[in-house]
Amino acid sequence: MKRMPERMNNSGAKNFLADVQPLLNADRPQVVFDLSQVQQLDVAGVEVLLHCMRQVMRRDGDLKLAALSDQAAIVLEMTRTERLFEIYKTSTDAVRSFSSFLPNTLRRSYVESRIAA
Amino acid sequence: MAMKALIIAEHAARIPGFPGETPTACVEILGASLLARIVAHLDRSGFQETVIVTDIDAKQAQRGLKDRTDVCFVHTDTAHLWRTSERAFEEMESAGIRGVAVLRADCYAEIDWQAVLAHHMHYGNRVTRIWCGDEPCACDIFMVSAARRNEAATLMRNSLHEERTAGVRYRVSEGEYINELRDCHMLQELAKDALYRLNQIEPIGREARPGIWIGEGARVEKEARLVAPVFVGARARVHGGAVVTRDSILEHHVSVDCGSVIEDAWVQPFTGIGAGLDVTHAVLNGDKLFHLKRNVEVTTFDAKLLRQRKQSAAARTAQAAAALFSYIPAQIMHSKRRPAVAEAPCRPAVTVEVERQPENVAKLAPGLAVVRRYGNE
Repeated sequence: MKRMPERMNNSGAKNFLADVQPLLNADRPQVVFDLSQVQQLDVAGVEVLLHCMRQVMRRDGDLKLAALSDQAAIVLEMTRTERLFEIYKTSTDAVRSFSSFLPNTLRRSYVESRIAA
Repeated sequence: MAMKALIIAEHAARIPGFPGETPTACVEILGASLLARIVAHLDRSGFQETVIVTDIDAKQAQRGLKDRTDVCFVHTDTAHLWRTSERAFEEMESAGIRGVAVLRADCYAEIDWQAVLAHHMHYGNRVTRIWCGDEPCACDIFMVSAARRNEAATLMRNSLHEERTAGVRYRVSEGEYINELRDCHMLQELAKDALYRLNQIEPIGREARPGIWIGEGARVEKEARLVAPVFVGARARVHGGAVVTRDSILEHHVSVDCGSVIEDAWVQPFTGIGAGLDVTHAVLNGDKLFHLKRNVEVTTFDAKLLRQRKQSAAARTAQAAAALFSYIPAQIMHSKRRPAVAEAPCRPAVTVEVERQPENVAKLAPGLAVVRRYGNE
């Protein structure tokens, strides 16, 4: 589990990628990024996320996102990249989801949307 | 307490908005037909035998139920469907059978049938109708005493809409699950509820990763991305670069070509989805698509978008080979027809001449003067 920095701009993204590279190089990496502190996410940050996802998939692992801040959620939605990731409300849920399917953690948004409809 | 079930599956029954001509009973839900799902629930509820009276083509109706010894099919024509059902009910009466559940295969209900039978016996009802709250359930589900042939006959003659004598109602409790399948939205809700485990429907396949079910013989290329919860049915194929993301269901023999994104969509069997498409909030069946947010059905006439795949494996192989053989010559012709790339224009000599040869100024229209952009001249 890795917490993303507040600023995921060019330099922040580069530093973050250098930080997580050892995690990505593991065999079948199971990685969770916590985006709760992200206040600025730009294209460089999104590219880093996609790059990490590609690396992880190549090694038959998975990358999940957790605790998205409003800023991060909006940017991911705008760039239509949110559909590529499993997104959980808390990091704990995300970590637990590697071992078993947790419909309750994903169900929340589904049930909420059903009630709204 | 012993019970039997009588299911009537009509060929003409359709879910409003559902693309294509599939009878409701044969709509695939996570790898098995609705009819098979209903029978599976009756099994779990302890029914001894299930009789299905249908006017649907035998091969289509019996999919997934062929090897079952406790399920008996009675095939008939549309005109005699209800009369045959009446006769089937009469034949079901046997020693020890207390009640017969009578229902149509156009809705899905997970009812506590033992509680229904206990209620039926307790109040001495001849027919017990299932109610949702203060309204009779639109599904028309009944429990009929096995010996009450006349009650059953009246029910059948009214196509299960009206009973002869109203018994004390059985109201569905909170723990029970009913989906009336009134439209395409409700149908998709049923499948999504199954993915989120809000009902007892189990996807047919192995859970390859948490929340990702893969059917037998399905092929997902390594570069394809699946985001839970999703279901990929038997012998479906997801090509590289495709993304099948949350709440999507690909039934058996579906093909998703390179780079397409499927989100919150339900793809019915033998549907081919072209390359580079973005399919969201929709139910697809062959070359037809029903958009759930716009409430519109669209038929595509271009096989590069959506296509109906052949049902026989040999025909599919032949189709793929034909596509390949037509693709290669088309590419060769395309490369021959392509115009030669024009050379990059060199520096415009005329401009230079204009700048360097002041005599060209005389060719300008009268009344115009040439002024230098800078300097004091």
